[in-house]
Amino acid sequence: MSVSLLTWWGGALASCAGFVLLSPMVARRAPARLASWTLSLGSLVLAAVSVALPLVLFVALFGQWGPVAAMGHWSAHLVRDRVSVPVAVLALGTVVLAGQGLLLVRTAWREGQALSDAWRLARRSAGALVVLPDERPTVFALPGWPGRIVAAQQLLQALNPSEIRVVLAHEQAHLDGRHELHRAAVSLASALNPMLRPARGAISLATERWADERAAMVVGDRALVARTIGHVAQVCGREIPVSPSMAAAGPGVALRVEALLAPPLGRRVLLTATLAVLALVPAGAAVHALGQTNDLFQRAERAYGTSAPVTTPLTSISTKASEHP
Amino acid sequence: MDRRASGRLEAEVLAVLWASPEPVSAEEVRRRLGGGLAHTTVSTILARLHAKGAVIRELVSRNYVYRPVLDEAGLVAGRMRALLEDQRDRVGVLSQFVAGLDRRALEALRRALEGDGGR
Repeated sequence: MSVSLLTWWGGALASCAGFVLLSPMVARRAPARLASWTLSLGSLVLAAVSVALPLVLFVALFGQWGPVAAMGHWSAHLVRDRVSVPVAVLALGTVVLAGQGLLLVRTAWREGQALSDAWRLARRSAGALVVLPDERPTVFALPGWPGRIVAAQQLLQALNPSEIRVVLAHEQAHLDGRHELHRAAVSLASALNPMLRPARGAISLATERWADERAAMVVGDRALVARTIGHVAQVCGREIPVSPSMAAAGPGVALRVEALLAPPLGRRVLLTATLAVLALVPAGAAVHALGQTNDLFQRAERAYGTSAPVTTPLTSISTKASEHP
Repeated sequence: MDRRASGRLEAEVLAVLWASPEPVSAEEVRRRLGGGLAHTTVSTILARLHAKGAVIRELVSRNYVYRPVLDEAGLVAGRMRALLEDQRDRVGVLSQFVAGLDRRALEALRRALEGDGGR
């Protein structure tokens, strides 16, 4: 079990690294909708794998512990014999699992609060568009049932009607496609596996491009969408203070414009398929590891009570008591 | 016209009203929206917005002109802005149309648009 388990860990780490390395390319070049789904689902699968492996170690550690084995009616001896991983490694897996649990709760709490705040605010507005008077120019989608588009009056006044159509179609595409859930999925996945953090920038770009493509379909003019992004950037850009971490997301605007002005993309089957394979292969390995663990405990359950363990004084007393009522 | 398309038009009509410094007639809204919309479509949407209290209208030389009204959600504007700023330092679930542009990003954007050949 030890060699194959370590191989799986190595394989899973390598897959995550490959996934993260390819994800910006997929976000930039693959069709935006396909890229978004591949990135969000792939991140979730890899996050599940990253939980499954420490989970196996945790189960193997606690399965050896007498009181737990007694409660579960399996033989702690058999588990101890068959698990050849050093206890230190098992303990490390348990620590990793606990850390993942804490990070997951923290991220779910933060993202969940942002989403529920958005839903509450969206419910309070009557119209499809909420306008912010006397605010710095901005426009964003407020997810909810139904979601709303929020725009500053200053921005609307700076745009011509066809540019307004582009901006509204873009934000509506975020709402219709529930893009916030794709972002939340990658955010949760990267909480479980910090290696996946760079995928958050990729899903951000992919969902923005997805909305750009939908807007281009609605207005029937890709160049108009590109020019609108440029115009909005000039209107908002002067006003938005930039924090160092968001500056990294800034070039995404130029990438979106480039993608809109470039000739239509092919399906990029190979690139996207590679990403999917990188997520699915370690998933197969994880399922196999979980299956083996399950087999081990089934055997340990069958072995419970059949093997003659060294009798402790307590059991010998109770045996005597039952022999002589 | 399905519900989604109607909601989209409603937002566009509201945006046109908010973008205009003075009250606008239905015909002017139709002209600014472009895209060959029927006059009745625009009138229907304006009537619905009026019924919801999202716009007010007044008679000017036997024609209605429309002006948008700040609704309750607009009054919680500060909270929406706070919601967005709160997650500025990370990649959150919400996203602005364009966000976090520094001079380098604006320069890259200008280059990309110039590659368009000034169409």
